[in-house]
Amino acid sequence: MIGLLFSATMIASPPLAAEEYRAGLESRADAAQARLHFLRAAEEFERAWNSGERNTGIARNMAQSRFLAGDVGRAIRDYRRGLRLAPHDHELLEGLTSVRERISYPLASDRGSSLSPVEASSGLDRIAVSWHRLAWGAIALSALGWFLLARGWRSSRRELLGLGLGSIVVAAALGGWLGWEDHRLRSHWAEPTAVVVSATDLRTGNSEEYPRRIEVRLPAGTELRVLGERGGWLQVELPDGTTGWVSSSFVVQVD
Amino acid sequence: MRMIGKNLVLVLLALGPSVRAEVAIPVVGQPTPFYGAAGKKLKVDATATPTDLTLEDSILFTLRVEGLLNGAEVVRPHLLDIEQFARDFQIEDEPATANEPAGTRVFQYRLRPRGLKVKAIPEFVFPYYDPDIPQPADRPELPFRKARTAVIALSIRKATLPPQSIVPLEVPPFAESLAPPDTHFPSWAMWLAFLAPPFLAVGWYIGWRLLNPEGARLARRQRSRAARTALRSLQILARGATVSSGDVVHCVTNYLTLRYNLPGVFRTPRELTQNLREARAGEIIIANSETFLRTADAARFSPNASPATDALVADAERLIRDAEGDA
Repeated sequence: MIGLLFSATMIASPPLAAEEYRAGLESRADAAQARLHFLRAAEEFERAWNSGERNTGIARNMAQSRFLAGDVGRAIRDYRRGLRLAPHDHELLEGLTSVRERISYPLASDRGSSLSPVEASSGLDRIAVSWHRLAWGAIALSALGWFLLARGWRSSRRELLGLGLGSIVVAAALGGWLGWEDHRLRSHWAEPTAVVVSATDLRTGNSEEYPRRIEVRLPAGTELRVLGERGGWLQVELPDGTTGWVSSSFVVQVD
Repeated sequence: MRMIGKNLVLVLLALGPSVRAEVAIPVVGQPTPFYGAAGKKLKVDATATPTDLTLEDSILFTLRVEGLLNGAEVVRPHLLDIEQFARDFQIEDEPATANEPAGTRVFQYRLRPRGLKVKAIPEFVFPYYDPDIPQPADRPELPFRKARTAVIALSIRKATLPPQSIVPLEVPPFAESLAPPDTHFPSWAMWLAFLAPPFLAVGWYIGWRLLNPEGARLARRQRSRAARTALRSLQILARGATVSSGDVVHCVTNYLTLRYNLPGVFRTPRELTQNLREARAGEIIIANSETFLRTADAARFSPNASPATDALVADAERLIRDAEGDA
């Protein structure tokens, strides 16, 4: 059964990666063994990604493999890689949310809230229809409008002309809104971001000799906005606006 | 007390151990590093907890300096600047102790051994200035003394991992299967699909005009054909011996149906008026049609009903010609 399921997804996955992923699922009774398989699968997906095979399927599979291998930081990075390509992909968003929910942000000194990432809210969240369906709806409405307009034009029937023009106006308004939402979300996911892969300190300068900016350590999975880079250190900004420096050895950047 | 050398500034006010004194420490002769301490019987102690540890553990290293004359002015020693400490340990400063007794400073650090080869915390040398010792010009370093801590032996071993018990891996539902092939349309394709209909519509219209240049005129002719047919029928009716007004009405309503593309179901003048309005016919035509139908109905259904007259046929012909003129 699992074999049949996986044969359908082989097209989207390098064969070795899919094989390792399947082996990981089959050996889930032993977490240590399963994690090794998922780690190998993640490395294969990463190889495919780096060789130019960049699509949402690879990004999602890579993120899942990282997550199951226990690497929360790189899993978040991989979900964000996919969302840069397709900011409206529900599976990627759901996966990212699930991984984020498993991060234990420190609660001391109210730091927990400031380390949590800022959600990319959208007007579409209030609608139960996906962006893609709405976009195709707008396209269909526009096509219908132009068809009616052409028919009305040819046969001099005013009701067809009115109906066609109305459809086109509605489709244009819907398309404009969707385009604006798309641009906004793409800008959000395109921000230069680094993700902590191993707990580290946020310091006031680009060296271990500088004091810590905040008392608590940044846990693995913390998402940081990158402001600059110097000497193997990244200047970053926390979601609450606090800025500081982290060693680039403890973070991965979303590329 | 004695003043020595023109480059030295030395003022010592030591009125007793229990009295806070302002101490001016000479610049010349200061050792490096120097933490700004001054005292007479200064004592430095170092403690470490724990001393028996694994590589994963850290040590709380405490330096306690007692007998200071200027406790507030003493700066925290930077262990990273001391080669032996920096080589053997990762070092983090711990927060300052809240309540330090007068003349005492306590500095705490978190030390993590860098490897199993680390066997001890080295001695820590704490230089200080003793105001009781004179400072001769040829040996300005004389009043700067050094207090040393003892070497603290450490027992460091590898971290012993707890026996690994086999535990299952929790796989959340979203990770139960790999993602299917990427089915997202690229955004340029969606924009293309959005912009295609207007171009197709314009293209279709232009194509239609090119392939059928007489199309518009044909449509008009089609309408004229309906008028010609109706007029011909009326003329045939007029020439006939017995013509009913119903035939004339049928001829006119048939023409109106074709001319204005009416649904074709209307039995009363009111229904006809309504249908013509919906078809956006001219008001004159609507009024003429209603009048014609009422006249015809009167001729057909009144008690003194008479067969169709030339007048009714003439009205019908006028109505049709007016309608064509209105177009």
